Amino acid sequence: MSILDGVSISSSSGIAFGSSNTIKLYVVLLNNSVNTIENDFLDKNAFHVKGYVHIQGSGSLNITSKQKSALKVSKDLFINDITLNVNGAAHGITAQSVTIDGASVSSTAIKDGIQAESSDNTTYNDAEGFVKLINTKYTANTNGDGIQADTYVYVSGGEQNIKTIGEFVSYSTSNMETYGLSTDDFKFVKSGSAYKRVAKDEIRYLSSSYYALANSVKGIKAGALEYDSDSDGEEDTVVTTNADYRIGIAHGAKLTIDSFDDCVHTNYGKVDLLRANLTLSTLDDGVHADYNLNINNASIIINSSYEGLEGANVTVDGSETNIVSNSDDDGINAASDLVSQTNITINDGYLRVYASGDGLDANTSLIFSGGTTVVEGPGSGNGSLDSDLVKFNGGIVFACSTSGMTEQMSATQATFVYQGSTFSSGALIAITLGSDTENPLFSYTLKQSCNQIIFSHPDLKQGSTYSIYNGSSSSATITMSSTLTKVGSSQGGPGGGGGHGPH
Amino acid sequence: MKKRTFPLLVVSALMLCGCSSSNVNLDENNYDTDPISGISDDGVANDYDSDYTKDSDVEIPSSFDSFSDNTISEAGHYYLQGSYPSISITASKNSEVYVYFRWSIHFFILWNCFW
Repeated sequence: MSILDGVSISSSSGIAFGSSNTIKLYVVLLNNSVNTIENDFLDKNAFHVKGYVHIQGSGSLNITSKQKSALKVSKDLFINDITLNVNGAAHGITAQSVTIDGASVSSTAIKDGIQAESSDNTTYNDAEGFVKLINTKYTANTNGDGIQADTYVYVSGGEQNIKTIGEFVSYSTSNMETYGLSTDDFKFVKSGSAYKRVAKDEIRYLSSSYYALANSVKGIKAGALEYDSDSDGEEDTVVTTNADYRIGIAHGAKLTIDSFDDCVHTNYGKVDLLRANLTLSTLDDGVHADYNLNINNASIIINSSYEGLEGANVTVDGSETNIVSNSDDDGINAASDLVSQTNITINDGYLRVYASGDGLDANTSLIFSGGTTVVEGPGSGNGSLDSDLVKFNGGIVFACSTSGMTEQMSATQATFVYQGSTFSSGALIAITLGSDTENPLFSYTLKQSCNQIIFSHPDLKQGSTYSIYNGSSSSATITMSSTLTKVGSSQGGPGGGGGHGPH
Repeated sequence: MKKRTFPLLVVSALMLCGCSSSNVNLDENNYDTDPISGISDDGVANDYDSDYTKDSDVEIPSSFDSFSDNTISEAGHYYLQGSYPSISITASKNSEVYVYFRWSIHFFILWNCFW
């Protein structure tokens, strides 16, 4: 009995549900109805409307295309309240703009889960090319980007779970031509059955042992518009005039992304993470912005990454900010090919960074003004804090490493740099005023061994003596001879030395 | 058609407070996965919200327009139920077409009563 299936539209000869003219279409799913639209025909979408579409109601809609996109709208698409499941052999949903409010949407796609494509690729116009998810549950399993927008992506509230899986291809001229890749794309090596990102400067001689992702498989991507300026068939010019490419995740949005490629990425744009909850796993960057990355009262848990957070300027604010970053390279990296001055500014929040590369790396300046920052892990050749200028103006900073790089430092808040004894992984470190172990300024259990500790704290006072305890034993004493005191074997500074713990 | 407009976001001032704790213990799980549960505005709306307002209420008409041959050729309100090989909308440019999908539970009950 087909009537039990609600509306069922199935075509094997073309578009299952569509319009030939530019109309304004309202689809209402009544009374918890369950409805199905599907097609199986070469190069035809299942639901294809040349116009504006607004789908709403209390029911659900399942759309499947076995040979092209499931839901395609040539103008603006609005989805309210419904449950929508799309399954596309190309995109799940594609439109000029996509706004989803209060709905539950699941997208399985060979290409992008949701794609918003501007009609004009030579002019930036954020009235189109955007994706908005407002108080929406969105689940994506894609072989392309989870969400891709030409201009911007805005996620406000709701819960989103995105998983992308990509295909790796080895370095060859034919693969470069077939997939439109450049040499810089071949930045992965194979490790057993898994792939691992390596630094671009490690790739000196490209060979078939280097791999690239055949296509973009980012979690969320915005920007940038490109066009072929000289009609040679290659998109060679990026639209930057009046452009404001951006991704904003805000208002309690709870976002989980497991992605081969960057989890959150803007080309020629910024990323704002404002009162958002992100849990990220990736082979590449957790969050990448070509311009500024602004974090304010956000929780960001990066379980695995190549670089955790990257932007031209990274600013961390908000007492509720909570960042835990695990990375194979830099934890937080201020870098961009688009600007010459790159900075990291920590004004507030809690940060814990585990990095195999530099912990915090900013070419121009790294400024601590507030919050609590813990950096662990980098070994030789990298530093816990790496910048032309590190400024300690406020907040709590505990950065430990082995053979850390000595950077140009300045401090308006008392800070010491200790290098000497090796503290083993698992050691409980406490920093105390004298031997006052009852009231440590700071205590922390190391995950990795280290022999250099950089510590800055509002309660450190010039002229006072502090101890570094390893468990119950005092391993070092530091007398703060100046606002910035360097102590230890390789620092050439005064003081230092072992001691005995309290009994 | 009855419309209801919700002002999506009301921008309020963001109150930032500094980290006041001086004695900090960052042992295991002290702040690993503490989610931020509150939802409040923080200024981001200006950059992203534009003038969008939710519009999800449509008054269902008491009668519907008819169509044939799986083709909707005029602006109007149409009720779809059951199975179709395809639906093609050929209404003229900028026409407003309303399509209502419904699960025919009444047929289901009727069928079971008599079977």
